[in-house]
Amino acid sequence: MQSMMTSARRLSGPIVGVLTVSLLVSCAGKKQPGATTTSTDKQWDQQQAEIQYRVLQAELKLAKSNQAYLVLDFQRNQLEIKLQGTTVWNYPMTIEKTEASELHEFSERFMGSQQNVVRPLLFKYLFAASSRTPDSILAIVSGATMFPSELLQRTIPERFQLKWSDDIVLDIRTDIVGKPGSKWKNTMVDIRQAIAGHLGDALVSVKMPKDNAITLYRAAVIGLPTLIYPAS
Amino acid sequence: MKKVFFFVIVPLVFLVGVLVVFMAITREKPPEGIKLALVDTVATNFPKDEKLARKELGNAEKSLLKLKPVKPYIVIDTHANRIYYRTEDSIYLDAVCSTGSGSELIDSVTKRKWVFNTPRGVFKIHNKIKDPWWRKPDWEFIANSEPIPKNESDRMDGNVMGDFAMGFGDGFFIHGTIYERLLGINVTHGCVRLGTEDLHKLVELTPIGTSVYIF
Repeated sequence: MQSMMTSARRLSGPIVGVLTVSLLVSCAGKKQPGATTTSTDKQWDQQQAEIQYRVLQAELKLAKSNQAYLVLDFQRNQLEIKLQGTTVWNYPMTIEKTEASELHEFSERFMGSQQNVVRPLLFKYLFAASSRTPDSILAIVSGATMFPSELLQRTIPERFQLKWSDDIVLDIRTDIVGKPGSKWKNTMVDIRQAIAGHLGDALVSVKMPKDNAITLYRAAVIGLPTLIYPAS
Repeated sequence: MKKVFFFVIVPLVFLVGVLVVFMAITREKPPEGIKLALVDTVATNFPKDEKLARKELGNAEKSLLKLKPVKPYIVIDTHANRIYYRTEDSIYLDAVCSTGSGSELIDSVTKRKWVFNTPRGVFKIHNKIKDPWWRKPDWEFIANSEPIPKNESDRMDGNVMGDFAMGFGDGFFIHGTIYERLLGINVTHGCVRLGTEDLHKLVELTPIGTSVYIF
């Protein structure tokens, strides 16, 4: 009996060791949510790799131009503006009221049946905003510099939307309280999106500080090439 | 049966009709002249063989990495009037600046036209000048309704560009200002103005040859 106990104790050491090692190996091999296939991944996903390859090829093409482009990186939850492949502006997204499935829907809708990872920005809608510099100050500056005051003013958006074809919407909100451009039109847009939402509209809502929103709002010109790193 | 038709089906059809009309009316039309297929990413020749596919993906990742600057670079955000000295992951300096107003000036006599924009794109720091002098261009005299001087020394002003100027090409500089209160507003003729303290920090951080990204 004692010898049995001793042999059991002797065996328990290696068993625990083997279990620990196998547990560590399995944890290391596990993909983190949101991770994507890279050339060095141990677990290979051909379909995922092909999409990643398309994204990289598309970015290489966009980087050849001297024009800035927007990157919706749902793999790293980041919004970026890039110029020749270099990040010139980035914001880690705090995604509001959006579930993982909605990110997938957004990504899938963006790529469409042709798996296209680049779309031009088609619409920009400002719901409400405030002025960064008081008009009275700008009037003095304008008088001194002889530049028109409307060129000197910067709009701080309270809420705006960027929209691509096929009803793909990025809704940006800040903490400031702005003046609505048109309450009637805002209501119409909201109603339309509430209906479209039930019909399969792809909308992601992002909250950001006002300074970041100023840059994104102004940099997002109609036609701006937008690249997506889709949620995996 | 008639009741069901009048009280259920008719209102339902009416409601659907209203919704369809509403969605059609409020549908935005895409702006004209926008190319929808910006980059053709459909025709990729991605290998089916895993080994080849890994190699191909690795090559694409490397090509993209090569585009990223190894050393810190300057970013000028003309939208928010901010300047950064940064890498992809870290920001070493974040300061308020002033960039071009975007306004136009036309010389009524010669019809020459200037647009006071800060140029966008990628540039390099060519030089660093201590105690710079401003050589007033023709537009400065035209804007003030003054005659353009024939003597070169009448164009020179040593009091407006601050302690340093860093040229990034085509006559554009990052320099100081005596109008620090106007920082954050687009009041320049294309140059980038910085406050004294931030200018000193940036000049110290920036070697000649540093890339400047302006957007």
